Amino acid sequence: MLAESDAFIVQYQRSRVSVAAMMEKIRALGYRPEEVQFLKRGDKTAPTFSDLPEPIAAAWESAKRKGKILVLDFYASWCAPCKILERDVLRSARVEKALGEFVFLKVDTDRYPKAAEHFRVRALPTLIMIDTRGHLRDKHVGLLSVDELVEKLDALKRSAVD
Amino acid sequence: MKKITIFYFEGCPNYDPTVTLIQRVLDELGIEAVVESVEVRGSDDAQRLRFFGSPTVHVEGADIDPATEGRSDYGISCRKYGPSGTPSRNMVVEALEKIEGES
Repeated sequence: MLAESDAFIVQYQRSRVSVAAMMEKIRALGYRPEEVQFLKRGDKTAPTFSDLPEPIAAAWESAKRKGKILVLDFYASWCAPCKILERDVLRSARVEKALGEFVFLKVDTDRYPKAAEHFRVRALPTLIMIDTRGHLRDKHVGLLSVDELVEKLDALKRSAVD
Repeated sequence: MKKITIFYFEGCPNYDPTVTLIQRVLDELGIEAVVESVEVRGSDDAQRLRFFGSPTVHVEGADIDPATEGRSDYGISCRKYGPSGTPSRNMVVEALEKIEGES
């Protein structure tokens, strides 16, 4: 098991270990996986930070230059929760103030399907936070409250300073 | 009789097309099943019902997409099945044929 700050890889033989048994072991260790990707050995489809699709590549370069975390908001025009997130959360004064410390980019998944696929966005809205080293720092799927988002952003800001 | 549950939230544009798709595939395959719809009203519901976004389809209690195994990113969201907001016909067929094969 290769442990990193926000992700780890478990190598196993599918013929000998069931996914359910493996997930049970992982949870017993105290992990609460929010995203699980199944890759075959040699699979080249895991997200990487080379060849980032537009419009994310330019935003990430900008975030790196500024030494800021990049916050991506994946949405679609037909997505009702995305509209609620925009209206009730992202436009709140507290969130707008907190986001001022980050580089923030909204990504229309219909216009940029490759960007959504690159980050394995499986539901909308999805918020993804990436630091200047290209590490995925947080991923949230679905609606969240102003308090929850401000708390996440504050925690990220604190960890970036530490 | 087999049970299919479609979880959705009010106003989801992909809910009706998914119901239609499932009914059509059931008819094509000649499978008799009870199809029920359950409205998801908040984050607590989403966690409890293992809701990966609207629409989420359970066939005999299991998510229609086997790739969700091990995931727990439940929430009030619009689900994406690849680039689409509805499951593909193939995904529905495979899930239904699997339960038919098990019976």
